[in-house]
Amino acid sequence: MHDDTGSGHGPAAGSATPTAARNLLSFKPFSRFIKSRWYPGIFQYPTLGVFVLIMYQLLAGPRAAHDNFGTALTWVLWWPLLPIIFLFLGRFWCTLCPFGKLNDLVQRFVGNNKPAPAFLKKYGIWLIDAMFIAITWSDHVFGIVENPIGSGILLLLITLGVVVSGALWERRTFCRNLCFLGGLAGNYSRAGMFKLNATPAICATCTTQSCYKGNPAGAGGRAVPGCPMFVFPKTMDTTAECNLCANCVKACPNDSIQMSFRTPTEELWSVKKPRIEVSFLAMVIMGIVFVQNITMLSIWNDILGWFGKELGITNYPLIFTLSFIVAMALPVGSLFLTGRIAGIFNKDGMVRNFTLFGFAIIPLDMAGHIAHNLFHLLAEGKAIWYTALQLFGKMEPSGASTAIIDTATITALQYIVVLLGALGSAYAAWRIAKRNYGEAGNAVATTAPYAVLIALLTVANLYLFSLPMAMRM
Amino acid sequence: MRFAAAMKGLARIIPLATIILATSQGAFADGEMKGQVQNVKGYGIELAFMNNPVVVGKNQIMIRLKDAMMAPVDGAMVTTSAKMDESMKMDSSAMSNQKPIALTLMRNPDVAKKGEYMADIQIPYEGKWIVDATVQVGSETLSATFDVEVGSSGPNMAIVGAFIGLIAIVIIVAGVNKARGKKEQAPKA
Repeated sequence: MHDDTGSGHGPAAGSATPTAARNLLSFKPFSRFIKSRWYPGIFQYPTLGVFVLIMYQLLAGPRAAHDNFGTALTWVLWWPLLPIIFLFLGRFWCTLCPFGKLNDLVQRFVGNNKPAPAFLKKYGIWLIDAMFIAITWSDHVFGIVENPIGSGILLLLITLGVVVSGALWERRTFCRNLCFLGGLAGNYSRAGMFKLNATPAICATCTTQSCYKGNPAGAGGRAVPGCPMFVFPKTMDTTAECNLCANCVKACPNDSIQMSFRTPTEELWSVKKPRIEVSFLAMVIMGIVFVQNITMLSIWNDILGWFGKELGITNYPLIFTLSFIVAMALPVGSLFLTGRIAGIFNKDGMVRNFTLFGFAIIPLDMAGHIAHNLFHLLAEGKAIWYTALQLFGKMEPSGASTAIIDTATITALQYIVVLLGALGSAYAAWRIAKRNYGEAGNAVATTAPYAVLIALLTVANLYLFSLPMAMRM
Repeated sequence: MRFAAAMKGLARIIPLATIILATSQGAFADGEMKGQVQNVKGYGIELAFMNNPVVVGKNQIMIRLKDAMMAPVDGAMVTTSAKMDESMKMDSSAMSNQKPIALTLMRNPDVAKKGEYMADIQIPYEGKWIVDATVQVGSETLSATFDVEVGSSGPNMAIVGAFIGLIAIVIIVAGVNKARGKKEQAPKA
């Protein structure tokens, strides 16, 4: 098992800067619903049904992405909505996720419930980082988003991984240690505005640890399993691993668990033990957003042409791989360099700076991700309706646009989102500096290099969003 | 324990098998390339596709060129233009906007026999397609038009079946292992 029960991570999430947020569970109808047997199944089973439809469409539906309902639902609706859900509701998606439900079902019937391998527990996030990079690379080289079969095979691979994990290991080992989306969800949820935490005063006298171990007589007298994500609410200092399944709410005999809204980014400067792999993932996501943007722009053809003309390379996978390495290395390298400069003022090492301030980049990451996908959601949103019509043998109207709103408005929204993200990142950097170097009087000097980096990344994002972008469908 | 060993073995096989499955689409391709032939000015122009019947998706198009003596002709310039039949476009804007797919077919001596010119083609829609082939042999220009029926590709049942098979094996092995574990624990209790 993971050792989240007694690792002394510090107070509950966000409690370093306590806010008088209203506990949503004090609202009786909400509390009753969350504790009922209906939650989260009422969301999970319909989602599982939609997932089956998507799989069928991807594998057996029209071969052209433009006509495929599965492609539209996956890449025009679900993928763009995902970071928005993480921002407002944390990892709520992970509760609905059909893969998570599949894991639970496999586990219930044939699960061997062995402890997750130590390797996975130790290097899980690095594996997630690597998988994220590999999937993005594969998308451009083999075709995933624009090829329904490619998308279908990706989902089949994940399904296989989930079944193996559910059959072998306890709880949601796959979600916690292997799911690339889980890594993304965890990162973004840290900056999000929803949190679940325990009440320290109540937990101080608790000896049952029901939230972690489960309770044979939980809410409504029903047996409730322990936290599927190996989290012990009493000591957790982050919402990154909480998927809001509410097992802890149902299992706790003392009603210690709270759910509330908080100031976005609040958690980023209150994490007790920041880990370098989380910061690394934040920078990788920044690189991926750059890659996704650049390859959808007309200048991508100019870049391909330059490679062919200047270097004599015309092999697309090779060109993309080189560009990909550069795009990944730029944000990671620039944060290391900034850490080196900031280290002059705060006297900490480059790696320590990287680890601390990588968290500050998460809001800008999320903003870049949301802004990029706003285009697909708003400029191609009607494709969902048109492809749904095709399921019933009806064709989309001739010359019909897939746009929900005009491009100029979408671009304006993208700018606003990126600027909000930049503000969030700058503020988080300031608070991290203040928390770690405030007493030594180095907070302002430490923040300055990071503010410059955030400004540069923001300008790069804004420039990319100012250029015309290709559609997915 | 035998089942534990089986699980370990499975854990080793699965990553390899999944890589093979994910990259094996091409392995199921039909190697035969037989097509339609037209005689133009004494030359035989044969249009063929690697995957026959032709379905939506990636395929390889081939023109096989023979002279009046049925001898393969090398050194020709071969181009094709494939477009959807107008009657098939109906009122889908995407289909209506579909531009003809123009290709230059090359003779790759490593994979093609004499007189065979090939190129990759991505066919986006099912239905009736018209392929215009233009062949330049010396000073002579030959043209031929072929009708090609493109079907829905459907799922690659080999891939889907293999995944389902693999998942079924995992579930069966895990289930048997779980049952055996319970059995072994029962006397102790």
